[in-house]
Amino acid sequence: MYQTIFDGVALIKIIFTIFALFAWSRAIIRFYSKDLNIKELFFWSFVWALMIVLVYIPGKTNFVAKILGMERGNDAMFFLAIAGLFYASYRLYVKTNTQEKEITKLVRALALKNVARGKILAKKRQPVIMAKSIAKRITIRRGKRKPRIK
Amino acid sequence: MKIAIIVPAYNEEKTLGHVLKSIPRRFPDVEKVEIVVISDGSFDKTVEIAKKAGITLIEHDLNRGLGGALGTGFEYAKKNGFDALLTFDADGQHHGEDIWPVLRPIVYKKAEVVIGSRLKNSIGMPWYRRVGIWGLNLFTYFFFWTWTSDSQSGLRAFSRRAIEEINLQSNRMEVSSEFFYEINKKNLKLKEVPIKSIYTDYSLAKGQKNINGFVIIARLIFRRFFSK
Repeated sequence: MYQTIFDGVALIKIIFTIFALFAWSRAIIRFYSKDLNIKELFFWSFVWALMIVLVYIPGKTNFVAKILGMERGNDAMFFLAIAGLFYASYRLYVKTNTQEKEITKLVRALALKNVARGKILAKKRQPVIMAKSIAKRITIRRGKRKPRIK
Repeated sequence: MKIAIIVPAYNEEKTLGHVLKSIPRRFPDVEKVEIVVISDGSFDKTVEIAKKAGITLIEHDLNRGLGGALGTGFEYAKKNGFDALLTFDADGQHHGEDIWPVLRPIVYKKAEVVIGSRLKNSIGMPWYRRVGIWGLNLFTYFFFWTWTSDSQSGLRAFSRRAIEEINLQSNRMEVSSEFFYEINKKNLKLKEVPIKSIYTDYSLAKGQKNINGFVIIARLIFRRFFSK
């Protein structure tokens, strides 16, 4: 049924084992670079070790299939994986959506701080001697305006 | 009465100058008219043109989309105590003469939100555009329970109460339909007024494509059922 090498071990199992070992090694590297603490390292070690063990036990997913009312363990795994992916993409969508809103709020707050009022712009064009107080106010406003980054 | 005319613009150097000239400055029973251009992260001459015209200019440092720009306009009107707000597209598809018919019901307190509907007088509108807008109208009706003949119109007017109550969440084009969600939720009195629209190759290229309609629908479903 499967393409087999090394005394009947399916190729997919070997690939999966290599992948799990690789992921495990990443966790260890991150532990040494202090991105993970000892508890997290134990958690990930447990997860990946369990994965490797599960791959070599035949029929281990059939009980999941029975619970879900499916015939084969593989189908149940596919079903769960797709459901998980859908959920993950939904979470991501919510997250980016919230971030978009936050960015808009920030951009809006910045823009509203630096409003260039029409009235003052109109005054600027007229060569009229202004009262000192107005002139001062305009200079302050101009000073406040951030230069536009190009 | 103090009104703000909000013109959201994103890289509209070709049309903005002409559009700003076409907006009338005086209306009956209106003491103050302030034209506010919101440059939504434009990187062409939009900002220079707006500055030259001597109108109020609000600049977004980043492009946030139509919804983001309109939201800023609402916030500005709220903060500065405007009695009415009018939105006007910068792509040159609206006539300046259509502003007063849209504004009149607000000034005389006959409605709280007025939509300038292009479909009540749809001569010159390409058929595919008509189909697209009708699709979105139906969608707007089924999800937000407000019937409108033009859910995607850019010429709208809002009263003081509407300015205070409407809370826009969308950033992009779906904001046009979101207005109806808010109108229904906040129980605002809606009126539609026929307007003419100018369809040039430029405004057609700048405006929404039908394919965008599907993106808008997806975002609206999210807004309706999954967002707070």
